[in-house]
Amino acid sequence: MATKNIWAIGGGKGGVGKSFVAGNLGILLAQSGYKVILADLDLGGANLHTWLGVNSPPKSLSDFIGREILNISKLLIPTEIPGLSLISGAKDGVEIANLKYTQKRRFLSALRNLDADYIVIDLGAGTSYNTVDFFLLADSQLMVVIPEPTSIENAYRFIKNSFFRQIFHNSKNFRLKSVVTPILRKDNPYKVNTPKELIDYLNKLGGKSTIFVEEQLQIFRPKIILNQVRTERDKKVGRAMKTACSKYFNLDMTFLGYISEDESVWKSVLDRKPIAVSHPDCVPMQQLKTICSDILQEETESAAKNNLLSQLTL
Amino acid sequence: MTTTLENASIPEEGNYYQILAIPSTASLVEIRKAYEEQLEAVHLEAISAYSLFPEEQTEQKLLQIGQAFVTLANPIARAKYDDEIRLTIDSEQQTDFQQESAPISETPLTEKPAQIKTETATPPHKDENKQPEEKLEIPKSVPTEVVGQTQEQRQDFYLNLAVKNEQTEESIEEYYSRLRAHGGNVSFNGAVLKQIRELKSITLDELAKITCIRSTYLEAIEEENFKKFTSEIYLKGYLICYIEAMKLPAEQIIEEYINLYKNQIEAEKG
Repeated sequence: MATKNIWAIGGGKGGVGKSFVAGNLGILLAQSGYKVILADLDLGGANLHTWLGVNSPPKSLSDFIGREILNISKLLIPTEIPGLSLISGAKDGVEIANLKYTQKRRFLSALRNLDADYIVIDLGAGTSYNTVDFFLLADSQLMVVIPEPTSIENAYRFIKNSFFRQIFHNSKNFRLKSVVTPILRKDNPYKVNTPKELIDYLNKLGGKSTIFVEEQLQIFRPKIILNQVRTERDKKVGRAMKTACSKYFNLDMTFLGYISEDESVWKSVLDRKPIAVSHPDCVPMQQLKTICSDILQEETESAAKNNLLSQLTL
Repeated sequence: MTTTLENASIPEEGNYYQILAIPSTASLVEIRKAYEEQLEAVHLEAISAYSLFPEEQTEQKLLQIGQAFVTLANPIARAKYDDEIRLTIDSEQQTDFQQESAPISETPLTEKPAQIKTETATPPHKDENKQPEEKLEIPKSVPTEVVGQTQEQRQDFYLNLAVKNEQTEESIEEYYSRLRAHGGNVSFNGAVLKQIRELKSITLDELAKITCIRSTYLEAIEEENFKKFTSEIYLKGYLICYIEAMKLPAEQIIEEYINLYKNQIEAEKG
């Protein structure tokens, strides 16, 4: 079986269109002939099943986590779209929000073993460990942002927390972990807010950990999709965020493109029909198609190189 | 050594030509356009890098480009500024020549610029060797017409404005003390700005010609009609020009006025 690719869609703020992007990317991939599983991991707020017009799932993720179900394929819900099935966290209670890291890894490797070409994960809002960890375990890390200060602020917080969490997981250096852990908490005693500041701080401490952090920056490649773009000025925000990421984070972030605001989007939500089905040729869908093929192309390119992340995590 | 006006380094407030990214020969139209572009760039960074740097930094930047624009758009101030840069260049070159021998550091700092001024303030006209192309007069490249203004008219506008600002200093003070008598502190809003402008008997039209900002925007500032502005950055940018032209206390006004704007935005949201 060909290697599976996991795409995770996060981004921090709620209501920016993560489910819109995840759901329609899933459909686009399925329409291109791939076998796709859409995983709704917006734990506590999952509703992709409604959006796809399927009934809420009979079994939940907690059944799998609690080992009542050993075969994860029992959680798959077929959809009307050929090649696309859904795994939904909709039936889960609040306790699911506190997964252990090992549980998340077990869940993701079970997902990888399913019969599918692509797994598209819709993450919830916020920057809790749950969202961030699933994001980090994915092969393509996509973030949805809208050109508003609140969304942009959350996006940077998400990037920062994800990166520091990645260092925490990948580092075997106890001292480095002990520096990163408090940063991830609220108090932030070292006044470190960005990867750049972390490198500066570590440089002051001396030792080799800066090299490690720089390597980690190389493999951390979140990609940004700018959604709900209204004006010419909005369009420029994507590239400007890329510039800001390299200036303030030393991070080479990929800007995938923007999606225009269009009334067909909310109409499709009211109709409870995915826009990829109801308005396949509208402007936002065409933009998303380009974005989708760009991600695919970049994956083919980087498939040649080693995917360091998945080697480290699985 | 080919130090020119636009590449001379001015340590404290920075070189205005560099700040606006324009050549020292830039025309008023080009200066106006560069200012607009800088506002746009500040706006874009304020949005796209939101939360990554303190907001005061944006304000600092706005004040900086505002100061650069206001100075360079004013033919009198610009000629004076160009002159100052030349003095800096000259004094740098002099210190280069005298590296070892001259104990310049021993002369009191306050006296130094004055000394140099007397040495070099007169020559520039005849100073063929160092700055053959630059002249002390208002740069020729400034177009004779900007929205119907000739260079001479423009100078007159500024001279008139300076006179009005100067002559009304006392009555403005009186106005402030009357406001203080009513409510304790002077707080600046659109209506107060309008009253000050009227006390100075400066018309909106006049102000528009000076600032190169359309009078509808200036009027919108006075009427607190914030919908007219596409972003806070533009409102602030134009407000700075308004304040500078009328020689009003910038920091206090910006803070108080922008608070009005923020409150209105909040109120609309809630």
